[in-house]
Amino acid sequence: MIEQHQWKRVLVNVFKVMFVCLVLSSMYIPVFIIIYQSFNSTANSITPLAWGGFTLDNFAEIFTNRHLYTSILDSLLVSFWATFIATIVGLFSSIGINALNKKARKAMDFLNEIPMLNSEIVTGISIMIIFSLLKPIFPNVFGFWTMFVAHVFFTIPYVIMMILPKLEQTDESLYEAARDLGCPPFKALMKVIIPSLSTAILTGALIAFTLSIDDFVISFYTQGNGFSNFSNYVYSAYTKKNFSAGSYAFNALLTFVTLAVVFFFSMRSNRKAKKGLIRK
Amino acid sequence: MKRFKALAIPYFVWLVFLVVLPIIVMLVLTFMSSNGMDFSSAQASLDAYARLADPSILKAIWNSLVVAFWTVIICIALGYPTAYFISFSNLKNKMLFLLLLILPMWSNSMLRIVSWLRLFSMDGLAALNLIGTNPAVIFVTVTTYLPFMIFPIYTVLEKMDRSLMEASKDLGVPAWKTFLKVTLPLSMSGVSSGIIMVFLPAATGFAISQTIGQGKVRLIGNLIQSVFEKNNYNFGALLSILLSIIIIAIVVVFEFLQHGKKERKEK
Repeated sequence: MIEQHQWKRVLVNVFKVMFVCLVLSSMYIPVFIIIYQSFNSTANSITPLAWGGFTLDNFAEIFTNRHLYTSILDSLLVSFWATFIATIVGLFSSIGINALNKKARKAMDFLNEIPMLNSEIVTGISIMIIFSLLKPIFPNVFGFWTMFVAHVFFTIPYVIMMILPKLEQTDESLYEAARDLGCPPFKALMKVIIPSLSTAILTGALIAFTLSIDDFVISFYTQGNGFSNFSNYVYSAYTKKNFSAGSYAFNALLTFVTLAVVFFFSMRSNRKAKKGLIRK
Repeated sequence: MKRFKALAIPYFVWLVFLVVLPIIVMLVLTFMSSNGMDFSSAQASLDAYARLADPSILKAIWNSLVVAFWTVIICIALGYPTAYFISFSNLKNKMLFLLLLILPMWSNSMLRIVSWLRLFSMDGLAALNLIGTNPAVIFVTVTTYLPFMIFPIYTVLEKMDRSLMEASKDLGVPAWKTFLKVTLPLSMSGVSSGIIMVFLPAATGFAISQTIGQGKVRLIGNLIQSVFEKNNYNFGALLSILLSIIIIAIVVVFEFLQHGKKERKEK
C-alpha cells in the first residue's frame, strides 16, 4: 500500500517536470533556431534550416552589412536615450503625482494607464498623426526624434508603475526630518527621497529598456528618412528577401553576452553570500 | 512632500498632447475625405463610416477576438500549472526558473517570429500546411506571450499564505478540493492580470498574423495597417478609434466582473 503510494508520487513528479520542460521548450525553440542559424553557413538558403556547415561569417556580417549595423546602432541610440529620459521624467512625475489630491490623482492615474492599455498600433498611429501635423514646418521630422518621442511616451507609464507604489510606502517623516534640520526642499528630495527609491528606479529603467529595444509596432509607424530599428530591419528585410543572416548572429551574440553577465553576477553574489555565512 | 505637486504638470501636458490631441485629430479625420494628412484638398465626407458596413471588417474583428480568446485559454492551461508546479515545488533556486522564463524574451521578438516561420516551412512540417492558418498564428502568439501569463500567477502564488492550505489539509479536505476552494480563488488576481496582459496584445498585434499568417489571417491590426498603407487616413482613423473603444469596453467589462465578484463575496 505504501509502496503504491510512493510510485504514484514519483509519477506525479515526473509529470510535473515534463510539463514544465515542455512549456519552457516551446519558448526556447526559436532561441535555439536563432543560435543554430547564427553558425549556419546556409542560414538564408531556400531550403529552410538546412545545415550548410559551421561558419563565423554571419558574425562578421554584423560589421559589414550597412543596413544591419545602422539599424542596430539606431536601435541602441533610441533605446538608450528613451530609457534615460523616460526614467528621469517618470521619476519626477511620480513625485508630482504622489503629491496630488485624491481627485487629481485619479485623473492622472487614468491618463497614465491609457498608453499601457491602448493597443500598440493605435499608439504608433497617434504619434505618427501628431508628427504629420508638424511636417509642413519640419519636413524631415520623421526619424530619430519621432521614434525617440514615441519610445519615451510608451515607456514612462511602466517607469511610473514601478516607482509610484514604492513612493507611497516611503516614510514622509524622513523628508520632514531633513527639512527640520534645515535642508532645502529640493535638496531633501534629491538626498533623502530619491536614494530610497533606487531599486524601483533601476527596475523601471530596465523594463523601459527591454520594451524599447524589442519594440516593433510603434517604431514601425514612427520610423522614417532611413532611420529604423532592429525589429523593423528584420521585418522589412525578411519581406523584401534581402535578409542578412548577421541578424541571427547579432541576436545570438546578445544572448551570450547577457548570459555571461548574469552568470558573472550570480557567481559573485554567491561568493559574497558564502563569505557572509562564514563571518557569521 | 505636497509642495511637489507641480512636478506632475509637465507630464500632464505631455499626455494631453500625445493622448488627447491624437484622439481629436483622428475624430476630425473620420469626418473627412483627405489624401493622407494633406488637409488642403480635404472635403467633409462620411465615406469612412459608409465603409464600416463592409463585412470584411466585422470578420477581422471577430477573428481577432477568436485568436486572442484561444491564446488566453491556452496560456492559462499551460501557464497556470507551470507557475503552480514551480511555486509549490521544493526547488532551492526559484530565481533560476524566473531567469529561464525571462531569457527567451531577450531575443528579438520579430526574429523569433521569423524563426518559427522558417521552422514551419521545413520539409517535415511543411506538409502540415501550418503557414497561413489560425492555429499557427495562435501557437506563435502563445509562445510569445506565455511569460506574461506565468509571471503574475507565479507572483501571487509565491505571496500566498501557505498556512491556509495547511489548515484546509488539517481539516481533512482532499487536495483537489483545497486547490479549488482555497488556492485557485486566492490566485485569481494573478490570472486576471495575466489575461489582460495576454489578451490585449494578442487581439491587436499585427506582426505575428502578418508574418505567420502570410496575408491569409486577417486581424484588426492587419486591417488598420493595410488601410494606412493605402494612405486612407480617414478610414484608418475610424478603425483605430473603433479598436480603442472595443479594448476599453473589454477592459471595463472585465474589471467590472472582477469587482462585482469581490463585492458579492464581501456581502
